[in-house]
Formats: sequence, structure tokens, C-alpha cells
Amino acid sequence: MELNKIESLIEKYDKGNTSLSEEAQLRSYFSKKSIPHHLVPYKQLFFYFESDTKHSAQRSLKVRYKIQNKFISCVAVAAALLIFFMALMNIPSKKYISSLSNEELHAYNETIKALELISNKMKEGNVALSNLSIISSSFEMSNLNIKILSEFQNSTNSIFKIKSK
Amino acid sequence: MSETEFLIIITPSKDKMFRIARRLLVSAEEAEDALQDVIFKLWRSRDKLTNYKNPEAYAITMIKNRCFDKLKSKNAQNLKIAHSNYEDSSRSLQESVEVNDSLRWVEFHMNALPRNQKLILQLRDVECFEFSEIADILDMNETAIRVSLSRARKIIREKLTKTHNYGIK
Repeated sequence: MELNKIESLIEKYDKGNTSLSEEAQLRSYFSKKSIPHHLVPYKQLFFYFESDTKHSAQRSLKVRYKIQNKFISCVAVAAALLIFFMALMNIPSKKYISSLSNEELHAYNETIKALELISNKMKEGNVALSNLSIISSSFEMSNLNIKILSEFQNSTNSIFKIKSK
Repeated sequence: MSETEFLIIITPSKDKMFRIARRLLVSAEEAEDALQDVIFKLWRSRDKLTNYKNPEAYAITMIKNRCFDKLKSKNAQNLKIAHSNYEDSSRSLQESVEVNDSLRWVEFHMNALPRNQKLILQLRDVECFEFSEIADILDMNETAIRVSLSRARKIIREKLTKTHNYGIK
């Protein structure tokens, strides 16, 4: 493009009156290598504008982050409430027991008896276990004594060694 | 509108939004944060988005306001000391040191401009918006925009001429 045409475009550009297409013309002119000395600042300016368009956001964008969090917390609260109420429902009330038929009541009582029996046996086993624990503690005592003995033996051995030398 | 559809629609505008945020704010990280905030807001109001005459201009207005808010808040004040980590990794190695140097000068002069002039220059000369769109985004009339654009261009060019002629004249 002729230089004087460019000069007039630049004048227009400085006044802020160029259209986008005229600015595009300037841009393509200044992308050339050889530019008259007095126009070099414009070349720098346009080159900078061009290079700035290459910046882009690096982080990947999220859209649901906050919404999803809210959703999850709502579900969690609902689930907690549900479990709580279900637990409340499952506790058998006295009313419920009294409404049982005779047979069911009998079965219930039998079960309780059986469970009591098991618990009694467990208690007996517990007593036997306490005997065992006494034995273990006495074992520990004797272990300690043996340690003392071995210490004693060590010292006597060293005394004998000194004497034999 | 599904999430992927939404992301596809905003993809062409998101880099423009990022560059504007980057121009106004202190660091690229802050600009990314601002961009993400605005994307959330846009997603929440996605149904209204199609009602706008120019959704992109609307989005850019949003990011501009977000940046101004950030600059007002104390958080940004604290960050001001550690100024600009504007590393430009996209430039090729073949470009000479001189070119890099001139880029840095332009950037320096541009960032030294008043906020509105900086923004107008960015919108017009980097992002190539029409004057009517810039008027929409900034809520100013076109004449005022032309005036401050002309002022900004002249200031930068004069400063560049000074640096360019340094040591010659």
C-alpha cells in the first residue's frame, strides 16, 4: 500500500475515527518487515495488540461446582433424617408387645429365656477366665524372679572369672 | 441448555473475558478467578442469556464489573505490591530480544493508562469490538469513547516514540 495512504489512515487512527476494516488494513501493513523509521512505534503497538490476543485462560472451567455441592449436602441431610426416623420406628413399644397373640408372646418369652441362658453361661465362662488371669499374673511374677536370678548368676560368673584370672 | 452446550457457547468469548480481566487486575491468577466467578453467574442465569441482544457484550460487562469490584475490595489492595507476573510463553524463540523488549514497553505504557482508557483500548484494538458494542459494555456514548480512545492511542504512541528515539535524538 502507498505510504501516503497509510499516513492518512494513521492520522485517522490517532483521532479514533478508523473503522474496524481500516484498522485491519493498518494491521496487515504493519505486519510487514520493513517499515519507515518514523512509523516503528506503530509497528510495536500493533505487534503488541496482535500478541496479546494469544493469551487465553488456562484453567478448565467448571459450571456445576457450587450447585453440585448444595445438591449433595441436601441429599445427605435427607438421608440422615430418613435413617433417624427408621430407627425410631423400629424400636418396639410396649403397646406393640401387648398386641401380640398368645403364641407369639410365648415364642417371645422363650427367646428371652434362651438369650438369658446364653448370657448366664457366658458369665460362668467369665469366672473361669478370671482364674486364668490369676495364673497368668503369677507367671509374670515368676518371670520377674527368673530375671533377678539370671542377673545374680551374671554377677557371680563375672566374680569367678576375675578370681580365676 | 446442557452444560456442554453452555461451555461451547461461551468458549469463543471466554478468552476475551480472560484478557480483559487480566488487563484490569494484577495477576493472571486473579483474572482466572474472576473469569470463573462470572462463568458461574452466567450459568445460573443461562435461561435469560438468549434474551439479550448481544450476550457477549453482556458477559464482558459482567467481567468488567467483577474486576472493578475486585479492585475496590481490600484483597486486591494487598496484592498490589507483587505486581504483574505477565510471562508470555506463547511467543516463539526465534523472535529477537529487541522485539520482546518493545512488547514489554508497550505493555508497560498501556498498563500505566487510566482504567477506562486502558479498557477501551483493549476492547477496540485487541478484541476488535465495534464502537456501538463498546458503548453497550461501558454504558458510555460513542463520542466519549472515541475521544478517550484517541487520547490513549496518542499517549502510548508518544511514549513509544520517546523510547524508540532514546539515544538517537
